[in-house]
Amino acid sequence: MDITIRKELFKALRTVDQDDKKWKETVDASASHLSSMCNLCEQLRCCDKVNLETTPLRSFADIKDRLQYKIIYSLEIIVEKLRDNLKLLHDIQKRSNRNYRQCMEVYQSNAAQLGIDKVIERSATEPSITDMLEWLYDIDRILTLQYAKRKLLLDIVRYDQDYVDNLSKQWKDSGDLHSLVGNVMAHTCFFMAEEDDTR
Amino acid sequence: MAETSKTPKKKRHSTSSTASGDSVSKQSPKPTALTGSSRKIKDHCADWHNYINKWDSINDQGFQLVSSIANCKIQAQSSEAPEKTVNVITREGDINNLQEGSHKMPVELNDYCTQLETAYNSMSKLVKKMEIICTNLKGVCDLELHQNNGAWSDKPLFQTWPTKLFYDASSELLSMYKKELPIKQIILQEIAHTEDRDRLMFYVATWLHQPYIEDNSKTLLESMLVETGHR
Repeated sequence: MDITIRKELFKALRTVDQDDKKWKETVDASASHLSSMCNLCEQLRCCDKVNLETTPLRSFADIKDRLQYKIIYSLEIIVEKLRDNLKLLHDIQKRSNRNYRQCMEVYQSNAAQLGIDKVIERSATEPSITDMLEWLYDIDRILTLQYAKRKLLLDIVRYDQDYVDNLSKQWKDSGDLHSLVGNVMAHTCFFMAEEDDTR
Repeated sequence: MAETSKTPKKKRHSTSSTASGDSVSKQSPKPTALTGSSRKIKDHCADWHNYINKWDSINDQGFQLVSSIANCKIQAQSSEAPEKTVNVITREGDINNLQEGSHKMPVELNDYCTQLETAYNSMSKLVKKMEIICTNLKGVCDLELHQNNGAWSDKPLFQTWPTKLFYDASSELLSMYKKELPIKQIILQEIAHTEDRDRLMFYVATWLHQPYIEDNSKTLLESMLVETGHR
């Protein structure tokens, strides 16, 4: 029975490592979009500030409106691209959640037979089942918070410089996620190697 | 003049476009190649594609140049004055000394302005070519009216479009580029003399985003290309 839970934990932890890399790649891939967004907001701000009457373009009465339309249109295209990236992040978060729930389900259905002693037993080379379940929960929680943060930022997006600067900073910041995953993988490396050998 | 009423699926004709830059792919003539008005319209649709692609390419180059000019100006304002003083080309080769009280400019600013002027001149030539397309298409329309005693032909030359629609679409495109060109000229004339940072950014953004080239320009062009069988 503990073979079943070990198998589930192995599958979940392997996915955690892969998904951490994908999360990082997806967030890094957003960097160019965020930079473009900052540039466009700067252009929008300058367009707004310029007094057209003092420029030779004063004879083009609607030029500011047209330019603002074009800049906002470009900004909206970028926001859509960020939403596409957000969808990828959401897929990662959903997968993490599914893995955690799957492991918990298997654990709960076998908990009585396993016994508390087995479940909390850890060795020098291997953490306990409860440790690994707890880490999976922590990772799922961080991913949920990180996804929700980015979703909120896009849902209430405003095209002003301060907001976009903050959005850019917040988007790139994944908090403790990577260090947590790194620690977990370090602590479970022998477990993962052993499980991999028995497959 | 006898014309095919529908555009054949695989019409082939030799390249007739005189524009430089990338061309819509043309294939060797076959016995069923278009002639007369339909040939003219099809070739001009290819010309539109080539001219607009060329314009976009020059616009991108121009954007790099206006950005560089704006950066030079901003850096010159914020940093110490460089060792050299340069003369600035204003327009059409006139060389003026820097006005009293102005900042000393980096040497490369001169080159950027010259290159920008070249880009503008190329765009101006493209607009003239676009005007020729419209004039020719007007001629095709007038011919059709003449041949049908003042009425339009019942049968479209290609798939569904009446001949006038090609002229209308071309006129609409020409109108956009004719409105955009003087803005490019003003930016060319003003950007190297602008000190205000916000105004510099405004000019850069205006060059890049082309406020008078409307969103439907791509749709108009693609529609013409689909109708005439280029796509």
